[in-house]
Parts: sequence; structure tokens; C-alpha cells
Amino acid sequence: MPAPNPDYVALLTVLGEHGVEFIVVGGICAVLHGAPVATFDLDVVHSRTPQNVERLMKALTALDAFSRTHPDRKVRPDRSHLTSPGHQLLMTNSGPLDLPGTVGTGRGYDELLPDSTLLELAKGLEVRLIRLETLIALKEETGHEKDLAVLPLLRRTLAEKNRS
Amino acid sequence: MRPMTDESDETYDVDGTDLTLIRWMLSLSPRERLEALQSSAGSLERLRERARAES
Repeated sequence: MPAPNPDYVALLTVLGEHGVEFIVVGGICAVLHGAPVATFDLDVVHSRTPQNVERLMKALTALDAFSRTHPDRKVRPDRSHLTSPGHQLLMTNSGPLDLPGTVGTGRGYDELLPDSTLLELAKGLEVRLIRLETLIALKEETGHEKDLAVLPLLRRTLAEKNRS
Repeated sequence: MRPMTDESDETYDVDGTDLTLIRWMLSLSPRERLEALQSSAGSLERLRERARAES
């Protein structure tokens, strides 16, 4: 599988240019909030309405996205993949992109929306991401070792943010 | 000469979390935070390629 240098700004720009409704979660969300964590993939939860799935399909075509599960076969995500709550692990021309249909205990786009915030990444590029408090709560909820390991760093980042 | 850090500087919390890194990240704009991450990933990849070439 090719290993393109990840370009998260490019990935988010393409999604934004196609009008895709999505919320950034996971490691990149933590980094955007100021947590010094290392990650390689961009995780976004997308709205699974038919109109949004159409927009997402176009964005994924522009990104030359294919499944990381079978890289040799270059399986492209289709509508049925993107309307399901399943987890799509993709490689794109701008790095790895994960589309977890839901996070935590089954929270999808609509459930996460009230706990999200808009952030201006560049002129004309606004991205929606879950609040740091919500990210912490989701990681506590799942209780996976990898999630628990990063919790002290996230909690301390939140404390430092609230202090300043 | 004053040492670079003294006991009054809080550099680690009780979990061992490096507070200086958090404060540095918080001093950057969100875009700069992403660019720092990308640069770190690119740098690791170059190191990996070099190690592979030399093995």
C-alpha cells in the first residue's frame, strides 16, 4: 500500500469543498484542541442522510479513497458502506481516513452534533469537531486500553485550556 | 547562572504528563497544531525509510 504523507488540511478541505456534513473525532480532534498526541489517521463521523452520502461519495472519489482492509484489491467504498453505522478504514491520496459510522456507545452524527463546536482552520475552511469534554467522556465510555492511555493527557489539556 | 528549570516550575503533573508540550500546543493556532503533527509524521517516515535503506 502506498504511504502518502498525511495532509489533514487537504483531506478536510476536500470534504468541506464537497459540502460534506461531518464531525472530527479521535486523535486529530485532540490535536485541534491542543493535546500533544501522535496519530496518523483522520477520524470523522458523517451524517448518513442520502444527500450527504452522495456528497461524501464525490469527495472520496476526488481523494481516490479505497479500503485499507484489502489494499491489493483497491475496494472503493459504496453507498451501502457509507449509509451503514459500520467502520470504514480508508486510504486516500492525502493519508488515512477513518469513517466510524458511530462512536462510543453508538453515537452517530445527529447525537454528536449538540456536543460539537465549529472551528475556523483557515480562511473559508470551517470544521466541526466534538468538544474536548465530549472526547474525554467518549474515551472513558469505551474504556479501551488505547483510549484510557491518552486520558491523562486530554484531561490535563482541558485543565490548561480552562486555566488560560 | 539560573538553571533552565527550578523546583517552582511545574513541568510535569502527577501522571508524568509533560505540561510544557501542552502549553506549547495551546500557544499554536489549530492549523499550526495540525501542521506540527504532519511534520512529525513526515519526519518519522523519513527516519523509517533511512533505517530501511541502511539495514
